[in-house]
Amino acid sequence: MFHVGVDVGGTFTDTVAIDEAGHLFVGKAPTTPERIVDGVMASLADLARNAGHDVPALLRKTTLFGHGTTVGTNALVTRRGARVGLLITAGFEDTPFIQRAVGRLAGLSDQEMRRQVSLRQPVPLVERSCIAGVIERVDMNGRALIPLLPDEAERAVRALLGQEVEAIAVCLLWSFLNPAHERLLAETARRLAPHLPVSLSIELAPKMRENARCNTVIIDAFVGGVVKGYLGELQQRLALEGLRPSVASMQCFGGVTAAHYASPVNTIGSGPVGGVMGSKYLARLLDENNVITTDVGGTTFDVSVIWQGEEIMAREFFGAAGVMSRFEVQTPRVDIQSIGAGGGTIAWFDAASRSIKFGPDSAGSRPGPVFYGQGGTRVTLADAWLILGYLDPERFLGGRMKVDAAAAEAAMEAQLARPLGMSVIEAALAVVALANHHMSDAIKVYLGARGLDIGDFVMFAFGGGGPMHASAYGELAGVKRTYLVANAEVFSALGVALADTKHKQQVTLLAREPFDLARLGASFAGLEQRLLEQFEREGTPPEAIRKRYFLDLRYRGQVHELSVEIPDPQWIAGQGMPGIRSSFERKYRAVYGGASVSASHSSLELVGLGVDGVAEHPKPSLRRDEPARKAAPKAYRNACFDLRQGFQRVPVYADGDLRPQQQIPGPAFVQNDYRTMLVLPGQTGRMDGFGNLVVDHAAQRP
Amino acid sequence: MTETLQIEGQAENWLGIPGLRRDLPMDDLIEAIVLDVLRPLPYVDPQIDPVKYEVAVHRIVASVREGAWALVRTSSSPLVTECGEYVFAIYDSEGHAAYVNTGVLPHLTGTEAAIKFIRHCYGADREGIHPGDQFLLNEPYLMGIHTPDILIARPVFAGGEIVAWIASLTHTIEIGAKDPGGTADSTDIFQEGIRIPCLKLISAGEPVQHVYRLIERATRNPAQISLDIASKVAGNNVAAARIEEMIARDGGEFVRGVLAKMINETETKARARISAIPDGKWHNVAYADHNGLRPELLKTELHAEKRGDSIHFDFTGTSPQCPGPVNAALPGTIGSIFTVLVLTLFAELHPNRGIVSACRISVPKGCIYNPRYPAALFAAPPGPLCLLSSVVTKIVSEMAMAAGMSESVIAPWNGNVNAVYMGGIDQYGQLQGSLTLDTNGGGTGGTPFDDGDDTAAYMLAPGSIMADIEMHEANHPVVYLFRRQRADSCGHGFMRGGVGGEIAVAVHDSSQWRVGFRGIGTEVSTTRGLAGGYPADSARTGFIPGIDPFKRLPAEYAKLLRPVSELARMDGAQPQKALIPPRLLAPGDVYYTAWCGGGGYGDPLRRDPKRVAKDVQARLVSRERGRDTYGVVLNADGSVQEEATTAFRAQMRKARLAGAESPRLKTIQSRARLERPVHGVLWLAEAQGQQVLACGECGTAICPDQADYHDYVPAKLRAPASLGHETVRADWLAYREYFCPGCGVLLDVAFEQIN
Repeated sequence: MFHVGVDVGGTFTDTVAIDEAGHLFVGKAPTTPERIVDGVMASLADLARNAGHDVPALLRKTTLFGHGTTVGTNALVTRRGARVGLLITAGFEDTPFIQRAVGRLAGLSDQEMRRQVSLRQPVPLVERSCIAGVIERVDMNGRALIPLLPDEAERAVRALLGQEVEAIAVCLLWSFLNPAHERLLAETARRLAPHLPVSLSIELAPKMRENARCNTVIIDAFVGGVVKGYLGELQQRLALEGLRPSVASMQCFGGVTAAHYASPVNTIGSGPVGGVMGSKYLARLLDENNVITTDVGGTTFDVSVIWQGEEIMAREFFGAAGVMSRFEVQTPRVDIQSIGAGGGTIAWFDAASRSIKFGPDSAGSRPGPVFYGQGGTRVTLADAWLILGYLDPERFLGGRMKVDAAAAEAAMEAQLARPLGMSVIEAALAVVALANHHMSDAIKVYLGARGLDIGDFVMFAFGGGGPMHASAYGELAGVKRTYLVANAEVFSALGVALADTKHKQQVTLLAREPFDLARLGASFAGLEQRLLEQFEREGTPPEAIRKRYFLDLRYRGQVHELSVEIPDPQWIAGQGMPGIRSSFERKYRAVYGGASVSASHSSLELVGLGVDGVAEHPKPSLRRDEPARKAAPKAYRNACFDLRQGFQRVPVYADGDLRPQQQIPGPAFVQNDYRTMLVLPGQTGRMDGFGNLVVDHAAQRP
Repeated sequence: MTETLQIEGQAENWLGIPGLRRDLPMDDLIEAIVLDVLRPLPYVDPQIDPVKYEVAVHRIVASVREGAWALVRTSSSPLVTECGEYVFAIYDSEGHAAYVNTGVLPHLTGTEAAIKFIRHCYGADREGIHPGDQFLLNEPYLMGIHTPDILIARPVFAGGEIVAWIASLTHTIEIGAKDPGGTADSTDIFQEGIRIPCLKLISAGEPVQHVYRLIERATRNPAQISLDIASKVAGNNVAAARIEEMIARDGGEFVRGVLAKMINETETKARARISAIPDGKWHNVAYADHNGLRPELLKTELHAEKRGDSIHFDFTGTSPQCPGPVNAALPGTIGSIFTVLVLTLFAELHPNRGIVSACRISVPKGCIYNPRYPAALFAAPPGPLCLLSSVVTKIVSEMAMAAGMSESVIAPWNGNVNAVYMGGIDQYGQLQGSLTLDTNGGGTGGTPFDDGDDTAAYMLAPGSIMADIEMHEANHPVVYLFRRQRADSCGHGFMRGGVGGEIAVAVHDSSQWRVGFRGIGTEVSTTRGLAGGYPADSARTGFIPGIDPFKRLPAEYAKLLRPVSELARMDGAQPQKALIPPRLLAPGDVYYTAWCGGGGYGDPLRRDPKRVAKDVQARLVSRERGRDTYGVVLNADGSVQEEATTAFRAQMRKARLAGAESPRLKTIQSRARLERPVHGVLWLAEAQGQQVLACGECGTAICPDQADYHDYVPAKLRAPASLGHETVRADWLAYREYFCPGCGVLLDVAFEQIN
């Protein structure tokens, strides 16, 4: 029996299969942007071959088929989706165009925000002619001040049908406190146009903040057809080939759900979540509670954490749950932050400060680094790797790509070394050092902004470039240990294969101190009921569900609430207001520091509550029991880590050549066709029982 | 160890400022410190390894961001959390800014003065400046802009020496002025809430409780201000801890050197940018319409001269200071000029002290932009400073055009903001004062390449955001009828300005809620266009008492969702001026404000007719303006009648010249050989063997290249009402249009005062 995971990346579609014994097989095929399913099937064919099966045999034995899809993300970024009609409270029809002025800034860096002359709000995914205002109004207590009349509902829906819309999105003010009006619109739409998909804000994002909620339903309607169509096609192709279970679709808040129940908007940004969910499982196997997860790709460096065994949820600067393609949304998502730093990131000379700058521009995979010979002319981080001997020029991408080392050196000479008065080697070392500092700074900012202390963490490194840099940026960031994880190059796919089923229910409930505790209890009961229904339709029995309960609290007047976990709803009745306050203040102090807790006269505000449910799937062990073929280097390569030392002869081990618990002194490379693990001089790598190479920083510190 | 020990005995160079004496009278000392921000710093190259430097710069920027993040997430002031109105920065040991996080940029320069003043107050004081201390101040005459801006600063030590300062500043929402949420009619600064020149808030890590008590007791929202203070303290601590880590690793000297080099890097780049602008002179005039007590036409006049690698800004000609709060203290004035530079010419530079070294600024004492203490200042940001940003933007864009830096060219953004401010007992029965920030979503100016951004931003706080309707209604006893984009609020042009917006809101669930307006520009246009683009419309404010929207049937309610311009004409509507002290409203009473957009770029007759048709369909431009301003003839279905449009536009150009006044000086009437564009459609060219300005459309030579083309071209005075600017007072202001004598293309539109 296999667990299969698929991750469709920008360049490769990765697949992995794991059997109960923990044997792991890998497949790779180029991603086929025009017909993603073809790339997936090709990758599966490669996987099946490596596992010694044919595809039908593999799929017949597959009990879980996890899938992280990017088709929704692509539809959004390339703006190829449905013609969406929007029903919104009359008087607020311009909401998608105003974007509460945050659209100009959301998702941008400080530097980008200063380019005010050219900044523009994003063009909405809905045309003005496809927006119909609905005469109705509900207030902050859920009272209907102006009722929605059935005739008005019909008029508004017909107005959109007249525009030949392909999907309908509905977002009314305060609807999450009084869903009747959205329900009436949904019923009317289904009656008048039964074939049209309808995205309701009360179902997708029943939380305060209409701009993010409105964007959420628009995006869901926009990508819905594409995502559903793709997942349907995939399911059909796989079923024909012998797959029995439904495809399990990764969601951006972590965990999978049966593909036909997945909300399209929740699939967006779910790709990198696979790596975090994989980290969560690996952390448990390794008995590590707090882990920083890092993923170095071609253009970005992604940071997230596992804190006390769990992934954490994002909270944007200006209060929304997240940003999708410059639209703030109310979709909960795993808190992953990206900076522009990867193999393709460009390094350049700045004449005014006579210094060297790194990024944020990237050559990506097209044209890519200079040494690709695909037309890239500007020096990238990967060019520095090659010059310093960190890449194997003979086996780059398994030997599929010829590398042009002379071009990389010439570019390094002309663009950096000569202006800086340095040698080519010195300049290349500087580029690598800058990259390491950018990455460690990103880690520090991520943890600092969330009130987490780096000293409490170990680090996992994956992605194509992670195992190359992590022994350096882990050291700089100050973690205890860095794990260069096994199968780093397909780790996201592995994470998808190992993910549990997850559902989330949340609701906005506004209250000031003292809260009505009975009302809180009733709200939790309602949420739990809805959560159980979600699991039930996928066939999960209630006893298999692990539930977590949250209160969203803040001081009165604040915009950012903190999610405070409580043991269960009964706890509230027992502890009362004092218990709620002290839980909140404990969390607040942990996140913002002791000096920040306000004096006695700040009252608490309840903003909402939530219940998460997770149903765990039985998981294979990842332990590697097989003895290594040999414990010696297969070759040596000259590489440079330090100007004074110059180039030195560095042992190169093949993946799987090291036996568990074997210690290898740095410098050393451990490589396969798609990635290189690097242990730096002065460090020692230890192979653990799962194929991870562990660098223990604490042991080296005085 | 205190700083006293290091600087004692330097009586003539107190604080390291040449010529400053410690015992100067307070007003003189403050002025000297404020003006010191313009002094070029002596630069000694710290000889830092380029790689270590870049690593350190990245670390410092990351530290500042981390501190700012901690601040924003814990603040309770909607101006911070929803509007991005905060500043977070790191300074060198003397108080020169080395990196300022994007926020309210006018404080870029003023906060420097604050830190120097802390050094003045405590550097020589028995109490001294110690590790773990934090200081609080909000004196607007020292650091701008008005009393709600509260700064908290913390020194960073290496051993016994100060290496750097961290400071954060937020705009708190309530500061205990005579009305909740501020004032519109204060007559001196003593009516504008508590003022703290400088106090030690935290002493060696321990809060000084009596300082907290003093401040909390002085405002209507004590819990909010105490959270706000806590958030700044927390942010400062986060950033300071990071810098201390750097000092522990690399030493204090190294960090000092990096900060100095960061300032110098920016200065070198800023001077290079300015040097690339041809030497020349520029001039701009704009008007405000209210002095806080009554309507009055107020002039903002700015001359700029660029020579070599510096620019001189001169405010001679600006109106004398106002009796009401429509004044801006000097630090805010200086800061607003630099805000424009940072967002245009210097957008790619690290914002810090280095940008100011290339500028000189002269502001006559006693004018709106440099009032004598204790003039009232409360309306500075939505009033004179917003207007100034608009005035400076035009000048800087004209410089950029002359230099061929077209990526920095943008027409003025909305030159006024008409904020709703309010307070009383809210729906929870609690006392509060507050603001509605929707008006910060103004329109940006048109550029040579694109329309301005609609309902987008406020130049002085480029991080501005509007609150979600639901968030605003959850915190205040109000219900919105609408929030939408406002047709024709922008300046029209080849590329139009971004439009502004409009709201109408009913008071709900409170009978003790007061609402007022603060801003300028209901009776003038504050926002000029650029290179032949038109000015933006004025703002509208008002009340409609007793209409009880929610007691109406749905069909009747729907009729209230009309544009503000129509609501203002309904029975019972009470249109208001720009600055209105808060008035008690009853539940069901409605207030409205409609704000303006950005200026247009270029002659609207050159605009692609299809873009006009699209704007008309989107209701951003009315059909009337589409015809009489853009010359576009539309079919009933909204599509363009191409031929009719071409003919109509040609006819309009002829009519422009036919009705125009003759120029003061005679135009060179020959054809010119065009070289490069220097001002919209005006090109540098050659005719009859001399360098001239010529029309890029028709090739007509106009005047010698160094002359002011306005003197050589036909012009015409246009009544604002003819552009739909109905509330602009015709007895105050008209728009003067300047045309190419050859083809009638519009070259410039200026404000002209009517006697």
